[in-house]
Amino acid sequence: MLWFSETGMLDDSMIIDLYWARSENAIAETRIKYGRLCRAVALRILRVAEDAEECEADTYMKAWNAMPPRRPDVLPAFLAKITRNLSLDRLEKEHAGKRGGSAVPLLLDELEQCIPDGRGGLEQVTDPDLKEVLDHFLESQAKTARIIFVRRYWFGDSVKEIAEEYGLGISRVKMSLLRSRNALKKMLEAEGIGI
Amino acid sequence: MRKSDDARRLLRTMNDIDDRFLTEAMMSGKQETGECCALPKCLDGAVPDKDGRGTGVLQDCRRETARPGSSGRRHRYAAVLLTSAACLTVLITGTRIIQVRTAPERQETGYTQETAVRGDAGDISGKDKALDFSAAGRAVADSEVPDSVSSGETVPDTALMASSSYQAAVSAEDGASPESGTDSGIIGNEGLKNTIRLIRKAWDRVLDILRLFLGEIKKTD
Repeated sequence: MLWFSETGMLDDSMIIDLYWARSENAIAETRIKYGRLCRAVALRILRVAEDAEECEADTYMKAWNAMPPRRPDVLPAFLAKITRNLSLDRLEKEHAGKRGGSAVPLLLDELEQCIPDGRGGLEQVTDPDLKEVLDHFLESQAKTARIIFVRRYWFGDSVKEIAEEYGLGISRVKMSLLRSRNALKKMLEAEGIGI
Repeated sequence: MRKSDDARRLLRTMNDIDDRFLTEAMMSGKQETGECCALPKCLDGAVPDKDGRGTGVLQDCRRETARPGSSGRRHRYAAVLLTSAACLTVLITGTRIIQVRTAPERQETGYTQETAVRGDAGDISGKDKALDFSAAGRAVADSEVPDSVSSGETVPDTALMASSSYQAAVSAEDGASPESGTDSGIIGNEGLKNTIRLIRKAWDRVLDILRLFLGEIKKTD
């Protein structure tokens, strides 16, 4: 028996159960509920509708292969992470060295400001350690600043979109991002990264 | 490792941040409506084309096409300045043409392009007449000189300049007939004043346009 939420869509836990039961309905239900989210995340990075759709399809396939054994706590976050990873892979493969219309080069330009000036850069730190520093950094930020940071550097939203979404001034969003970048740089330096 | 590579790695590693931060960002903003705010607005109507240009409202997707950093801003300022310069040129030229064509002096004297063309031929004959130093020509000129001159008295230059034959000769030298003397006035001091006045007006308009543009740029920044 399937359980539907108020919106007429399956609950996340039910969708995960479908994956575990190896039911093909799992992909259909995922597409209905989170297809738009996956497309949006991919489109932000790739800027080409066809590529975004392919990434969306690849996301379902990866999710199908990952569950079981995995049982994600938050299904949309799990799917969005897969889509983002696939999109970044695709962008690097297809647009290596080209700026294109993607938001990623802009984000990279801004994120460079977070890198400590020392010789080593981020070479000395492993990915899990870096993830831990990032989590610690986000934890230390105020809620608004944290949301703005994630929306900008995870989802790739523009400053204007963030300002409109949260009813803030553009300059305030920019200032918040600048302070967050400086805070992240200080935290990386405090962890002895890049020095 | 270069800073750009480090930034790329940071962007990648950010993918693995704790789910609660992602959920918080996804569900914030339009939480009341139940709409996931992670969906970009410009995706609804304006899907960017292969080059990344927004096909819908340009303003919504401007960031995507803008060059990063101060370079992008310089490009936008340069575009505004070039557009303003082009507008100024068109404005001045257009207004000048209209002003010259509708000048009241021309309408009063019935000046048209046709008479101007015909005037050229008349000018040549006028010039010839002015340069006619034959006995007959001199007799015509002498008849217009005051008696005091012919009697050997000293005549001020102004009197000579006021004589109609002198004016005719000067007009002929200028390439305009004495009747159409007002035309030379348009091209002369009066015309210059008009042009300066027009340039000032046009410059005021350009400044207004620039203010508007700069206001827009400030807003979008």
